[in-house]
Amino acid sequence: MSFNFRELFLRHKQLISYLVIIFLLFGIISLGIQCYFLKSQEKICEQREKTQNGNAKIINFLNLFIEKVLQSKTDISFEDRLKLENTVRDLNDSEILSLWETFTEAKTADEVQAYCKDLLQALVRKLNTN
Amino acid sequence: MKNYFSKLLIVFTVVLSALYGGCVFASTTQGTIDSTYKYAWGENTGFISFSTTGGGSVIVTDSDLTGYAWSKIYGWIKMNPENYGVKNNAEGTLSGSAWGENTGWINFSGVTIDATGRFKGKATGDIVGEINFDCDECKVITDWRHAGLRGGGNLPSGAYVPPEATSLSVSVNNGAVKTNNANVAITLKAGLEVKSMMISNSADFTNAVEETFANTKSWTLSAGDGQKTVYFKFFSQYGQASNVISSSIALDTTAPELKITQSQESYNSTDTIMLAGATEADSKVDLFIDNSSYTAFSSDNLGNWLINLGKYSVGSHHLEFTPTDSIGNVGKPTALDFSVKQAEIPTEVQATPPSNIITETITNTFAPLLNTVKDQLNTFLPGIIKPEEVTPAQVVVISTTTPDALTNKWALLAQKEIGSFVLSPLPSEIALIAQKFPEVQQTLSEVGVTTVADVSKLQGTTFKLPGITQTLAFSQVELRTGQLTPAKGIPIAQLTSISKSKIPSEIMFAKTGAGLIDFNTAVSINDKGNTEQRISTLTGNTVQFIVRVDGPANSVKGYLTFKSKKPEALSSSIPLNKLTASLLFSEPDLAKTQEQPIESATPEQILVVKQFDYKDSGDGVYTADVSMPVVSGEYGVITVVDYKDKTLGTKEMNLITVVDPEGYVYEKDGDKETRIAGAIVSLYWLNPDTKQYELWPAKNYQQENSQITDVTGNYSFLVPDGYYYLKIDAPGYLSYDGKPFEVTEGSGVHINIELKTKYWWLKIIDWKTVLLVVAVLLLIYNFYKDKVRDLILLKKNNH
Repeated sequence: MSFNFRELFLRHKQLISYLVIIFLLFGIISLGIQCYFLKSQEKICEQREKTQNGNAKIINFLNLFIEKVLQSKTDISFEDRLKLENTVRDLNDSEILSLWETFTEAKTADEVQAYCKDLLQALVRKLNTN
Repeated sequence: MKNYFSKLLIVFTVVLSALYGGCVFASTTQGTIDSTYKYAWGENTGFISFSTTGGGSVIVTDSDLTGYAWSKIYGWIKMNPENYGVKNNAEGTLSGSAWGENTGWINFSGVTIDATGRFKGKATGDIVGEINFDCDECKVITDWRHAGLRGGGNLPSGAYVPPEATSLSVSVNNGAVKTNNANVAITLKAGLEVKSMMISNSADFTNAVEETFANTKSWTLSAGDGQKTVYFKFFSQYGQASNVISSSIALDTTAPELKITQSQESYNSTDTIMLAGATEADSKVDLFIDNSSYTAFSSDNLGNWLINLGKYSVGSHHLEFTPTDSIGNVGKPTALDFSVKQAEIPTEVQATPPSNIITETITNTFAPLLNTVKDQLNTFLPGIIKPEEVTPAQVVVISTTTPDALTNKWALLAQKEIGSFVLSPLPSEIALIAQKFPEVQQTLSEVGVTTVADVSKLQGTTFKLPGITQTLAFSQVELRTGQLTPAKGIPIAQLTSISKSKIPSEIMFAKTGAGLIDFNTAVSINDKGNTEQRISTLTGNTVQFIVRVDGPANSVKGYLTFKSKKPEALSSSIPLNKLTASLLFSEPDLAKTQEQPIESATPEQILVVKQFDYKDSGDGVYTADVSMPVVSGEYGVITVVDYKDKTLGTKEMNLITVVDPEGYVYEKDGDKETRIAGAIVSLYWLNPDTKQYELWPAKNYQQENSQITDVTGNYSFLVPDGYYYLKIDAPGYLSYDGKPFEVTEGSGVHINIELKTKYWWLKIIDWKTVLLVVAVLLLIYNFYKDKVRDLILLKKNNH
């Protein structure tokens, strides 16, 4: 009495096919779920990266503002003004741009001080700490 | 005669030694092997010494190697066997073979001796395999030198060695890739043996002059733009020259040119002005617009640029482009003039020829669809197939006139406000409290809180205001001399007028236990930045609130209001007498002007649980005995003082009272708790005089000790500061002796205590456990019976 694997396979061919199909289906579903979770993770990572890039730009502008404007002892040069203008536009934030323009268009000392505070406050507020 | 012979022998020996030494010792023509660096290494042979004492060391001459090398495994190896031997071509290249009785022939044709006398390469033999002369552990060095390097004379052996290439380094303009100036700075580094150098713009050093070595050198590159290479040669003091080394830099003195490739002579006022052009790669272009505005942009790595200047006003405009290349060459400005005309507004719609109607209708109908298809296709097309879209750079134009805000003519941050914030003293309320409580003043100065800017140091901390007795600085010993009591408090009625006048005004104090126990009030800053006074008591307990008013009052009323069921936890709790404590109350509301009468407040605003009137105890001190609610939770006690003096108005003081539930005695039954009735709860107190725990004298505080619990199992004690422990006895239960604990303020002892029954182990044995044990025993018995039956059958079969 010898074990005939082929005969066993043929006898249960249908059952084995079902099992394989179920196994593959299970595999596809689990891979699909995994893929979904990875995609979600990717989205979160992309969002975080975007936030970090945004924060980095804000900090860059803030740093430039402090260095070139607040700590300046003289007139701010063309180069620095252009750099500030480009950096503030690079933030792509209409509120900050508007506050910056209001600040640069100030006509009195009181105005400039008030707008400077507004701009600094808005910049700090825009930093996303989440 | 004998003496003469001895002298002759000595002279002979000395002469012989001198002759012998002359033949063998260090020489550049007939070298010996260094006594330290004398070992070659082979995997089969192990170390082979080329400087031995027994068989005669190896001698290196211009023509051959003589003498013997020694291997521990193979014995002596002869360098110059008859008719063969290791040959030298006078320049250090060895050939031929050495012979050993055990090694057979060893071929030296792969071995050389370099200019410094060091053996390099490998010798090979059929029996010994490879013998390495230059590895980490093996090194053979001779003082023989190449014939070509020897100049004779009395020069030391190192005189023929050129400066080592590894110690030489040069850089032009600190390794810069480009320069726009033919005059460059050269930095040179070399070993100590280098005394002079030669620098040239040509590899053959035409017209070059040998000069003293220096670490820096100003140099002029050859004329004309392009890649320039500077060549260097270094010399030792004996004139030995190093290999030629070089360093390169690109010279670019040509100013960049700028061409405008896309522009119009005239634009409409509605047109967006876009310009394109070309200049040197990676150049910066400064653009002056109408001599009043300024901007700058960069060309790409191919030198192209495309900019968007937006819309311009009607009229003539003049632009000037000035390119600056990546190394600072400034080109000539390129001008561009154009005019902007007012755009014509179409006034009437012209009739379209009938032949185009169908085409336009079709185009208009299908345009959105076609655009969608185009967009979809674009997303599927790979980047290589899609034509690269060149988007113009959005240039930012700024005025040549600096705006006032950026001229540094005004202080951008008001210095006065910053100064006043940093240097201003503490808020008046804090100063007032510090004045009322000397401990507070001391704490503030010790933690360095002197100005308003320091106030944040105290954020998130809690401190304890001293109780009324402590505030008046009475000695408890003096007060209760001879009595067995830990009492600290003094009932208000017993205070003299002078003592009463010392009570800080408009601060709420609390007492309990017939005025004998003081509550130390905790002051903290809540999450909204406001100060809060807080005490803890027990449900149903009677608390006496005391307040001293600043002047004659029409009435002093109190309101007990419900705040929340769950009391908010304090961040930390540090008594003031520990001076590491800190404190903050930037806006203390110990007494503030009442904004809205309590009676007029809606239940949504304040839920008043109880209203009470303070009684005048004389000398401006008012007291009220208030029974705390039976429901635990956080309650507010608001005291409203209606002064007769209109300038003082109506003042409101707040105190938060956390009402804790009583403690109870219970027995645990699974996850449930069963309260134990009839338990005798005794509180023991550490008498500081006797240093012994004694039954706490509760009668002095209008309480009982011991207490017998009812069906709720509840008990509680309100005690002054001190060390205590609890003892509980209940019939059928094991006696409970608690660990000592410290009470740091007048607060309740209300710990929930679990008692164990004397027969606790009976509870473990329930019917499930018994059933399980029986089943296991039956199973074991079954296995045992099977085993016995098998043994009997086995014995029977054997018989």
